Amino acid sequence: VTAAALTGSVLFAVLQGVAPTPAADSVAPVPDGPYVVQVEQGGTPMVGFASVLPVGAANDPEGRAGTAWLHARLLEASLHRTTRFSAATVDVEVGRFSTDVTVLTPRSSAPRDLRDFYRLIRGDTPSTQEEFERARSELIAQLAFESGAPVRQFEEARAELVYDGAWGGAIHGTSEALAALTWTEFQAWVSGIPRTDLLIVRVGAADSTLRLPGPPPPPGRGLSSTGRSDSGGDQTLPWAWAEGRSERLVRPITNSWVTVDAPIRDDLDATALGVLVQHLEELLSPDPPDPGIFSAEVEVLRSPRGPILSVTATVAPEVADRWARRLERAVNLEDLSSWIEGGQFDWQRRRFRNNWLRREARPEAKALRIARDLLSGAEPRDPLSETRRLRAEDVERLVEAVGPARILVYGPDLQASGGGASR
Amino acid sequence: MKPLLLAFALLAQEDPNQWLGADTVLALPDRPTIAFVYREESPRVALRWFLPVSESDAQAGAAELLVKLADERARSHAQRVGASFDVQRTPRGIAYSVAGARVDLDHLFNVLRIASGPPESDPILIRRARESSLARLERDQESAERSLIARLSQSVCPGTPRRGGTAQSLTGLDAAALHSTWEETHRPDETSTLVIVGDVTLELVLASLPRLGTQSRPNRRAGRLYAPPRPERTDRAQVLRQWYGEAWPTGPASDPRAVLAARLLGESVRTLDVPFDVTMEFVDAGCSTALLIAGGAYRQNRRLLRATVQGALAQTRDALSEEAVARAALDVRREVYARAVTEEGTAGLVGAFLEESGVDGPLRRFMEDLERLDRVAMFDFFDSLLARDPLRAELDR
Repeated sequence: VTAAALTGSVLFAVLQGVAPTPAADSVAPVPDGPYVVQVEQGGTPMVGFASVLPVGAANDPEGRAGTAWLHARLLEASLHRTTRFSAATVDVEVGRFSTDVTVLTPRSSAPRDLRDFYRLIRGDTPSTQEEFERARSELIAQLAFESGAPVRQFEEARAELVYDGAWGGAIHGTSEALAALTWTEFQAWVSGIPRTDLLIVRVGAADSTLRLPGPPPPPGRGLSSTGRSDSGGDQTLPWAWAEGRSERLVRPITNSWVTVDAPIRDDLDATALGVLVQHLEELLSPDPPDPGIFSAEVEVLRSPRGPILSVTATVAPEVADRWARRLERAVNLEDLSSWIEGGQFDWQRRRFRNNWLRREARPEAKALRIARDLLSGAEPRDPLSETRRLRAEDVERLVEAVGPARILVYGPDLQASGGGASR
Repeated sequence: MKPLLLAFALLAQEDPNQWLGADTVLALPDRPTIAFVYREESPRVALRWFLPVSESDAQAGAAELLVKLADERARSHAQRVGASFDVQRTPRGIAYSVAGARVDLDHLFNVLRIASGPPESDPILIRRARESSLARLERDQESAERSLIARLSQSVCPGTPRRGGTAQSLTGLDAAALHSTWEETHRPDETSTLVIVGDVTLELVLASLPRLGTQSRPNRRAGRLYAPPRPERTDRAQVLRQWYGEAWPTGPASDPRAVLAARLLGESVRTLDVPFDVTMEFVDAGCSTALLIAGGAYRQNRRLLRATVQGALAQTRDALSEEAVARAALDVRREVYARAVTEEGTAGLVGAFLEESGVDGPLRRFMEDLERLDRVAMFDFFDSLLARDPLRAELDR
């Protein structure tokens, strides 16, 4: 699908007027409702929907950490309930500043599921108090089980490192905060979710019932509305922070966690950045495998201060410092020449194209990425034309776009315990 | 006329199963049977080449060794461009799968060619693959549960060599033996099936076919190996409890009643309230699928164990409800659709059904039949199973 073909097949539908009893194969038109964007992808038995709610853990009320998480679990349960007859799979992921909602459903049940999805995204069918109480109890039990777990402590320490204490700690919240959350408070929070600017992206075989006239949605909506106006940083900086730092949090645990986080400029070529992310992922999955590294994750975090390139790895304590230095060099693109010179960049680009296409062979994954593209104010990208136009120079430009890294090593102090060398 | 045709076309589009079968099946002499699943404008393409394998006792495990060697040989070539690659020993043969961008089609065929190429003659590589198979065999033999399951599974198709090989057959599989098995099985003729999912022209595919597999005629004599007699060490499991199991052959994997019965029985076994472990597995032994139920209990519970295993099927039948059948059917549909969403997933599903039946359409039929199954149909199916004696196996101290 070329860029032109993609743009041509993206049908913007603004839904207007209220239908008292919507037919099973149509979406209930409502005033000020979410825009439904349809992207045609033929030859697949499935249809994917995605929407990005502009609320996340950063929007948790003071002393009520975990509210967004609880809301997501309830939303997921509602989606499961409404799609229970249609062989659909649903997923709701809570982030710091947004909540991703996706559904993958067979084409035959897509019209009905889209209608229900639409209503849930609009908040038309809120959860009951009984459902709220039950979900809250389950989450409190889960949090009690995870209380003091290194993974949770690391998550909080990382949030402190990256966001300087602004915008919340652990996304899951705390059992105390959830126990204090009342039904009335929760209802008020849910009703405050900005919904008039929402987008729903539908990817799959075209549905003619959605071909409604209307203007395209204005660009760049949604993600910036986090509910907090104070960005908490110096807005004249090109990056989320001006100075890097290195921290160590000593805990008597068996593994070490390493995170290297670098602010990046907000105006970067998203595709070139994707190639860098892929390079970092490959670095963290060496072939042959490095016995010192157990798991790794690379992601681009969004924050009102600007995006952050974040790499997190679980490693053996004796190699934690080595991996921290290696990751810092890679994040700062000090090893750039080793992977974009010679014929290497072409292989890298081909891998990038295949990985992208594989990921988005799932319509709901494609729908979510297109929703993010649209919300950032960009045209929906087409993987083939994007990778075709990509040059090594586009990646080289990133060198100037990466700010000073913040590093956190969380784990045992082997020097103090006589177990080996440490920084 | 035109609006009428359009209406029919729209109605046809509403069939969720229309993508679960080949649009074209091409059978040419001395060429693989080609099944096209057309995905208009799809930027990706998936290829799955299936080759039937029938091993003699002395060859048992050869196909699995070929799979391990092929995986090691071809995976890095696929990874170089980020293509997906997989090679499996299926109940009926070997299936090579590769998927990636349509613009990389040449490279994908190259990966398929490398994977299906002649096995390495390096004795170190062969020994490593053989030791991996032997380790798995010994692991199965050392665990009472695995040993019992393997024995039950083997009893479903009597006379069929063990798919993973035996200690004796694996020891005899050297470079010459593997090459011989490869030559015998890797011929791109009409017995093999190539499934192509994507937007690819026939000309491109036909141009790439001659590069696949071996071009030489099979040497039938070379395929029959002689392995020196060596007593097979069996039942080395450290048995502390009494183990008992039953197998119920359930016919072809393309029968949705068998798949649904496995779901319902699995759910029923999971919720058993007994003071010991009972496990249920659904296996495709090649000639038939089967429901396996096995468990181990200390002496004081041995009677209860037998009664539990022997009564599991009848108990599941008696507890059948319309809702449970509908839920299980929905779960199966969900899994099939979720797998079919990618090109390689569709190729795997269509290919697996093709290799079992040899004709196109069984997957679509499977899904259509699945939607029609209700409590009465499943009750009758369980009844038909219970009318026969199951296969039995036990392990004692």
